[in-house]
Amino acid sequence: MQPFTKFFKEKIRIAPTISAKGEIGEIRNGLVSSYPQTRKDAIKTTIKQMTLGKDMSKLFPDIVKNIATNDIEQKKLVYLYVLNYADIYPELCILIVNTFVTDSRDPNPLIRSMAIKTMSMIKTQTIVDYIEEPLRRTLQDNDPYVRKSAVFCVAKLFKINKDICLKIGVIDDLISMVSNETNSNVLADLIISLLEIIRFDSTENSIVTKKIDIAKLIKDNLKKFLRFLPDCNEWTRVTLLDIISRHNAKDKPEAKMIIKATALYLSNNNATIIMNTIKIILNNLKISGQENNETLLKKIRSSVLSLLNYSPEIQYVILKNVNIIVTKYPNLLLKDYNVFLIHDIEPTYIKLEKIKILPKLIDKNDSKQTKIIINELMEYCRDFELDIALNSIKSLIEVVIKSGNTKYQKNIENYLISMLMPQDIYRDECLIGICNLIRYFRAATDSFELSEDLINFIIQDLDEPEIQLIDPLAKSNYLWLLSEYYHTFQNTTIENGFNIEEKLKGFLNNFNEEEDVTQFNLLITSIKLYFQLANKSLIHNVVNKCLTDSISVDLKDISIIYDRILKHSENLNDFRLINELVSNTKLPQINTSINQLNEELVNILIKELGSITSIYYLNPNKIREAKQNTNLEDIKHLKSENMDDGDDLLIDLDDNDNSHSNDSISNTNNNTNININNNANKANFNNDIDLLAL
Amino acid sequence: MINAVMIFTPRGELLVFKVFKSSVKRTISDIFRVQVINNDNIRSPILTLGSTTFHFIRTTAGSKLWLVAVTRSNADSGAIWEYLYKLNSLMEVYGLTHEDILKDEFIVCHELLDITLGMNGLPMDTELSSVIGKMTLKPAQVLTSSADRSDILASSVTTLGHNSTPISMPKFLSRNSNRSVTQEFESQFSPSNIPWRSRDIKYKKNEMIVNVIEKINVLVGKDDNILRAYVDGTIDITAHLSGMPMCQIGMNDLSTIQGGENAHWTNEDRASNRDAMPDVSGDRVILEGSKFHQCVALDKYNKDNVIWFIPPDGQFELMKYHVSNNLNLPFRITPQVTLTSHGTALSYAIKLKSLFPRKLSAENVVLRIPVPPGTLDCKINASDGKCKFIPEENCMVWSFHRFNGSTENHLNAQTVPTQSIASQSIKQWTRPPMSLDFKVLMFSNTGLIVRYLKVQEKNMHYNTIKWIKYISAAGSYEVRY
Repeated sequence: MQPFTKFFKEKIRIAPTISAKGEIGEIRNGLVSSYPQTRKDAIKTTIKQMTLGKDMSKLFPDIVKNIATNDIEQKKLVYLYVLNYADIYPELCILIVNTFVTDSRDPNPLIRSMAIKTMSMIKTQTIVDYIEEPLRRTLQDNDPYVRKSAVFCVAKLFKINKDICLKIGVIDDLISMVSNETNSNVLADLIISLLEIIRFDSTENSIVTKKIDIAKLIKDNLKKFLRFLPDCNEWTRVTLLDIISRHNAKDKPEAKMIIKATALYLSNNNATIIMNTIKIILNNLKISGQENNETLLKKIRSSVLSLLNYSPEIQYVILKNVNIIVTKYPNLLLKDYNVFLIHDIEPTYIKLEKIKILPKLIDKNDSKQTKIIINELMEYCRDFELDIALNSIKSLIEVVIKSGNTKYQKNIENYLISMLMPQDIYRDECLIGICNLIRYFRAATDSFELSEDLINFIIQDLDEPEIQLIDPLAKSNYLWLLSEYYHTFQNTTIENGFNIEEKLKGFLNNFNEEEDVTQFNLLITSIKLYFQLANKSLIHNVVNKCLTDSISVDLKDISIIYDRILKHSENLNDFRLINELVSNTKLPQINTSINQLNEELVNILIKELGSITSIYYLNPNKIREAKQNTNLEDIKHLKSENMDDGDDLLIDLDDNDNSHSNDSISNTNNNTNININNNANKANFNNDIDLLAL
Repeated sequence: MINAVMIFTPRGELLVFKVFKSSVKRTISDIFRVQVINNDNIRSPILTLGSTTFHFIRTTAGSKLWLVAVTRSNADSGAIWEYLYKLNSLMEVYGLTHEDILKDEFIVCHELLDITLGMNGLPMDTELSSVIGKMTLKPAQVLTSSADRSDILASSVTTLGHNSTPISMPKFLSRNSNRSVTQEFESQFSPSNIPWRSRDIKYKKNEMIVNVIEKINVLVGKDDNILRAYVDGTIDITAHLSGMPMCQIGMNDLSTIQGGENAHWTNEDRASNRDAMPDVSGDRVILEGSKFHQCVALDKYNKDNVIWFIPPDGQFELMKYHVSNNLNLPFRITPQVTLTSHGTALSYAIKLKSLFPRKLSAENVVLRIPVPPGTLDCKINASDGKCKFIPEENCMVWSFHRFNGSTENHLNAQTVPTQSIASQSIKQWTRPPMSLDFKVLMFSNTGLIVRYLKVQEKNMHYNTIKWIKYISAAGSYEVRY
């Protein structure tokens, strides 16, 4: 029996298995067990608990003992653990540093790179002191995978300890490696690491910025990058293309060369590669003088369209980017409007983007296309998703304005009034849209009159406009309609007539609940109608209310002036002058009713296609990127505050008033419509002030 | 680029949290949970809070896990999503589709992340065959012997969203063309620099399985005109080949025919087996925006319009294509929906006609017909198939297990509304489109035919067995009425 028992002991695991509960005591016993399998199990359980968020740092000494093993998997696990807790036990790191150095000489390249990676990720000084020799050696390693890891480690080390990094000269090593490197993966990573180092220490006059001239590096090695493109791994290709896109071609032949070398990647099936290639081609199009090269444009067009068959998230990026591209190249996708028609099964965010793009593809000369788009949008207006319906109304109005066709204007107006206006949820958007139509077509056609339907609706269905309308813009538009078409409403043949004073009174009673814009328009409307309305005290009341209750400084200033004029002008002659000025101020003509990206931003964003800023339409130069908290001090500080980093994470992405979400962007833009109105009026008031001063 | 990757269960339990750049802490997962997982109103697949941006997708197979990438710089969004999808498919190959499996096998997941993402959070390698080469464990699902072929078929069929038993595929092109692969191809494609294939692959039986999968998308407007029709096609290949084989695939695609191909293509290369051809009168197809796997020599394609490649080992998607002209629509739906005289009920008369050849048949044909809200029941009379009213989804579902080619079926139905329903609300009902789902084997919507597939390995002269299958399925087939 003796040999049998021995056999059992050696070959079969009798040692207790480690339960998944992960009690520290049990694991500790397992870690020092004489059975290798038990030890490995114990390590696995530890890591599992660690990833679940439990604090397993107490086991550090026991785990570290298991680092010297030939089992690669176990080694990986121990490395993973060490990485997590090394900062808490700096004094124990001295125990493992020798293993790291030995491992970095291991014949297995996987272990070599793992060792150097882990070393560079531990922030403890003990490790940093030992890193020079292994790091410089692995940078010269024969195996590209090890070199690649070492290249990253330089960037990591730089963030941990700038001075050491500069002292041991690894940055110079990197720079000289760029021109000698023969492996495309390593080459791409070299540039990325250098870029990262620069970004980390971007202060002017820092040694690093002087040392690394990235633009020159790219320029000098451009041909090399292009040469490496065909043979590399797809993600390396992504990086190389990204690097190439940072280069501004110096002349026509160079731009042509770049386009020639990259254009074939439009046929790759990785969406990112296609995106980056489109970006490169668009950016070099002008300088290469191929802006009218039909085949090239056709290729770009078909690439953009085929990207719309990828996953919904990719489609989302593309749709956002299409908006930028068609602003810059309006003719590119004109014939492909049907790609942007929505399918029922698509996610809402895709539908919304498509609806926003449709008006941009209107071709004035193609009446069939316009008609199809209008019919489609009318369909979407009744979607059960409110967002889609409201945006469809907006787009519909824009399409009609762009088509400039009064026939459509009549149809759409009737459609909105009969189908949608009666329902609460659509009323605001419809009224705003109709007023935009009126503003556009009144200027574009000679004889313009309000339609009967609209008049009837305003008079009969809007009993309490201050409550029935919710959006301040809708209220403002309503007030504007009243002042502009006072006589039309007054001379109505409808029974009971129409009492404008009543409506104004309604708004006045609700004054404190109204937004600035509405208050402002109430004031303007009252002033404009001063001579038409019989009840002068109402107007005095409006002015007084603005004076006392408004929180807007501008509005207060303006109302002070009116107040004085009204009080002090004896025969109202002076006032008549001002009244005429106000009344004759027409709102500026509009050419569009929706948000347009401004040209400067488009020129910047076209260089950033695919990036996060291109989704939010933000200027990337104005964004503060997150500071990396790799400073030792910072980390201690944060540890002591124990995970109170919620605030730290919520730093504002952006200082200027550009909004974070698209909806608010379009809101601000809609505001500008009315703001223009305000400013125009304000400008007049400034004149008034001058008059008074005289 | 990617600072951290997180994986959550559908309910928001954190399963995997892996940091690639040290500026992200674990508490960020709580923020995501509150802002996205527990938020029903999330309206975009990207969320930016301050300087932190989350890109997220839901996994498609198994439990719907959340895959989240955290970034804190102005990163390339497209790349991040592309990566997340690639990660998703790798996890599927490794069977990490369910939260319980992931809890047990989290080490595999960590290893996957380690291999696919570099230390600085840049994606490094997502090519299935090379990732498997680097992993310590091989996925049980990944097949190395041809005996498991049916599994591959099953998996490729299920990716279409249908469950069906694997079908036998006709062999095609059983004889190997001996035409030598051109010299220039070899020179510019020297095997040393092929990152997606290792050099020492050996199979006893060399096989290549080609699946041509076409998803047809149609949008028919109210007035019965087709607003939009297009096909998204892919050619999926499973290659079990020894050595460094150079392959060339030829189709009846207009661009590849026009190119230098004509010279090479003679009658003897044509498939000798009629069964290997899909049943269409496809002449020459215009492929738009073809996208190729990285193994295809793009410069060669651009210059001569031929598709040369050295395949990775195992399954991969050779190309995606897009066709929007001259499609063979497999079905025609003619709906007539009218208000009844009371104005409160709708009456449907629908004609569903198959347009593909008589000897083929479609499987799993399902037509969903929405009915207005407040419908109690439907009086249904169908000429064939089963039609049921499903109250909780407000629709009728007309399904056929098998739908023969060139046949016509009719459905007459009338809704039975609740008493209180107003005719106005029926009139204002938005009428969501009817949608059709189906699958037809050995039918090509576009008429695309694979003419030949040549495999040549310069050092080992072996014969390759090649299989091909054509699948046409519905992507989104919507009809307004």
